[in-house]
Amino acid sequence: MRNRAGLRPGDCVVGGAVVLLAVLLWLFSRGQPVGRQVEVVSPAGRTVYSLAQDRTVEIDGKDGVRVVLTIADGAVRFTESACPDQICVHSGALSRAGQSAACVPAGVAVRILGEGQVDAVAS
Amino acid sequence: MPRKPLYRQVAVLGLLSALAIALSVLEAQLPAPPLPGAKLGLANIVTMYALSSLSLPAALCVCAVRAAFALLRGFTACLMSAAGGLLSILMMAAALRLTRRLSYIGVGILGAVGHNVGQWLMALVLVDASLFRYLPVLLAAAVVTGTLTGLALNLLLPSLRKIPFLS
Repeated sequence: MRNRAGLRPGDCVVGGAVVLLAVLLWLFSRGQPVGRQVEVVSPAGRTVYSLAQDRTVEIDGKDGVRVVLTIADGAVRFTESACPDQICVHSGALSRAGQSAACVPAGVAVRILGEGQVDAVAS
Repeated sequence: MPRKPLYRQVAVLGLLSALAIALSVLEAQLPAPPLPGAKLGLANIVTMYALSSLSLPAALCVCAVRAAFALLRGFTACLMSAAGGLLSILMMAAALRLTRRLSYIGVGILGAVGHNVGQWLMALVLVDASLFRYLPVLLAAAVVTGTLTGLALNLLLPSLRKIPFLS
């Protein structure tokens, strides 16, 4: 019977290589919002935008309330709104999965999609 | 190794499969680790034992039974289990055949890496490409869990070899 008891130098090489690979991948992927998406729900319907691409989205909401969404640096924020209370604008920038903000007067809501779904599947 | 009668092979494989499933269930009762998807992989001990002391087909059998059992938790779980198990077995089998410089700890790490990467690849296909960023966490976790399963097999093997039914 092959004997493979104890710790061998090869084990450390394998462990070290995997850790090194993990660190390199982490450094490589850090700051890159790969494939992150934001879901925008408005009276006109539901649209999904990528967070990786900077853009400005203007939406004519309910009752003629106009809002402006800006996607930049992997985050989305309400930059302008014609509503009286400005709660959406004060919500600030959203970048993490599951975060959401809404402008109720305009009937516009945004929500970040993505990694929050890990828990449901991998458990 | 001389070929054993079929009924004994079936019995041993049934025993190992049941043990692997029981270990998965037991592990699910433990407090969840802080990282989703990172599991201790106790059932990997069984796979490693099947590969090292029995044969590659034996390990594949155990993997298939586990995947079929995972159907109880849904089709997604079944596919993830199969993908993780298969890649894990292939990596461990390659390590056991190709080199003698690894102990069960190194083989266990490779098995855990294979399991996590297999599941991750399946999740990329089934769920969301944004899981890409999660790979480093899974790799780092595999080093820890693989070391633990390798150590466990080291401790268990002397006892397992005393069981006449298995040897």
